Amino acid sequence: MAHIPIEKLSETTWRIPRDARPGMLVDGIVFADEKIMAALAKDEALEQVANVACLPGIRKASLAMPDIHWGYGFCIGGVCATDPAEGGVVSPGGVGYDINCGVRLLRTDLAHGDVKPHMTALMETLFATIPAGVGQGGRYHFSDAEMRRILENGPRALPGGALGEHDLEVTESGGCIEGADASVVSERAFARGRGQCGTLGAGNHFLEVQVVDQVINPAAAEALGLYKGQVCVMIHSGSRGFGHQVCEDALHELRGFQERFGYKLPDLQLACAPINSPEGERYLGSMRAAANFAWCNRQLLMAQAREAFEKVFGQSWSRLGLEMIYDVAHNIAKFERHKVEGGERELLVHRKGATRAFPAGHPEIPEIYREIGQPVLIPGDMGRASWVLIGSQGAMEQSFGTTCHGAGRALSRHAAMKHANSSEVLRDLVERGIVARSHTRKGLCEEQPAAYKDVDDVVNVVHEANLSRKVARMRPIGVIKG
Amino acid sequence: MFEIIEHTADIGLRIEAETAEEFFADAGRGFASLLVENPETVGSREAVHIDIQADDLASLLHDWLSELLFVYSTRGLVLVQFDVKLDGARLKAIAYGELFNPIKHQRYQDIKAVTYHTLKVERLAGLWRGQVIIDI
Repeated sequence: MAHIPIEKLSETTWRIPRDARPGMLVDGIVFADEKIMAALAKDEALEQVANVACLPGIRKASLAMPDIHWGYGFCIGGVCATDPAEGGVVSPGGVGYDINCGVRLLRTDLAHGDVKPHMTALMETLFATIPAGVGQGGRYHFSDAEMRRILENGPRALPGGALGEHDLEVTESGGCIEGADASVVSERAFARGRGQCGTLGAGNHFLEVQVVDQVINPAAAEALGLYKGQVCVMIHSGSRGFGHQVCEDALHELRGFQERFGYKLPDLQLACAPINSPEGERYLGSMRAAANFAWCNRQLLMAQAREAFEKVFGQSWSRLGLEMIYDVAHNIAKFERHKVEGGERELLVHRKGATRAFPAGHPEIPEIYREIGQPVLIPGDMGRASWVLIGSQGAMEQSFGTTCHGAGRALSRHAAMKHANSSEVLRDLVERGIVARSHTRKGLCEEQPAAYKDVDDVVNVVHEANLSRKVARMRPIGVIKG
Repeated sequence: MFEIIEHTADIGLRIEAETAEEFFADAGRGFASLLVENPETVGSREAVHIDIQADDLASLLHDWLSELLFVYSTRGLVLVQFDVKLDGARLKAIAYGELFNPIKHQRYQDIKAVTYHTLKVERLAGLWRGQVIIDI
């Protein structure tokens, strides 16, 4: 691997100068501490930050969050904003295959002591209710006409009963990005998505029952309805086979993009098209459809989780206080207004494994949170912790209103299997007081805590860099994996 | 022959064969071994006809495996045996396999897509060699 020159700007910020590689139009900026930076020497993630800096129309810098690791074209944790008025491009690789993979957090009125005696029953019921695992179909089957309504409208098009009164208000973008176009979505994507809405999937996707174990910012926690010892539910999933196929179709259509648009980019996986081109518009229309599908998926997963709690505790979900705190997308491209040289511009912000983190007062934050800032949900691994943060002004100044999205993998799946077998992983989880259910022992093994960086380290960097601020930490007590 | 290659967050296949037909058949077998842990237990009860064309051999490898993924994710069919015919960058195949059966077969990876990352197919010293990274 070629050496990438990098200079330290502060304890949390590093710069790849624009002249590090031919073709770079802007600097690369990486948010990391010494420990994270040292680990990066092992893979090609920094090279990818430099490659993204070559994308036509990129503004300010090619950015990477502290959960950075090697991806395809873009690194995971990569952020870039392109300017449609400056020949800016849209790149499907800047969103990824799992379009609008994201996280949803629910609160409850239950304390840890209330659920402790029922944990086994609760996890068994959640496991039986929520379809999870590779290729596992669900209970929701939509006709093509229903699918089209879902794709263009998001969860508000779902049948009655699946939607709580306040759910959409606390979903990023209200659960629907305008401009979704079902007519440009392939029959193949319909075929792969049919029957998968309301299913968790496998890999790193999960549903966790968690307990708030630290409150760092009491005022913000109170505004979010969070307190120490409280039980929460976190859901991590995306657009399933539907989104994967939308990305695949776009990359297929963009074959030969370098010759077609006269680009000279260092990596074919950076396939892109001008935002204002038929190819760019088709991708954006279908990407938004996949994003809306993903919000429906998490909505239906939540509906099933609420149902499971009702069964176990014999009360309605609203009486149990299972209200949504927020839902964030971490693989997405959206038009947003940001300040760059020359004033405020409408830019297409690509977030590939990165979370929007708007500060207090931003008009896109739900009114109930506008005084504190946008909630940011950062899942960690299944043994240690996850975090709730809030967006801060520093993110608008440094990272197009963006922060990290998770812990980031540290070990390959194979290395994880070697590190500890499934019986050892299960024993370790039991010792930590965690009830885990998975359709495959292997899945559990590959996702063991040791396979991930410590989320606390990642969150410390974004907190110190003022990209977002800590509110509360949750530790898992129940885990469902595919 | 094929071997599985490791990547921090993902997985890949390296394939080597003496003929183009064997190369694509081996890639198909390698792919099946990522879908199920015990591909040797998958029978050849059903046949699927595949006919695809691409501009170059690397794209063809990508499209071939994407086709196998599509059949698996929409019909639940794990394809394990392949009669491949290649004419330039056009591939015609009859692929054999059976429906995934959780009692008999053990699932392996949740495959999202076949990527273009470091994708290559080359002919060196009379051998067909290639590599492909799979997003899981």
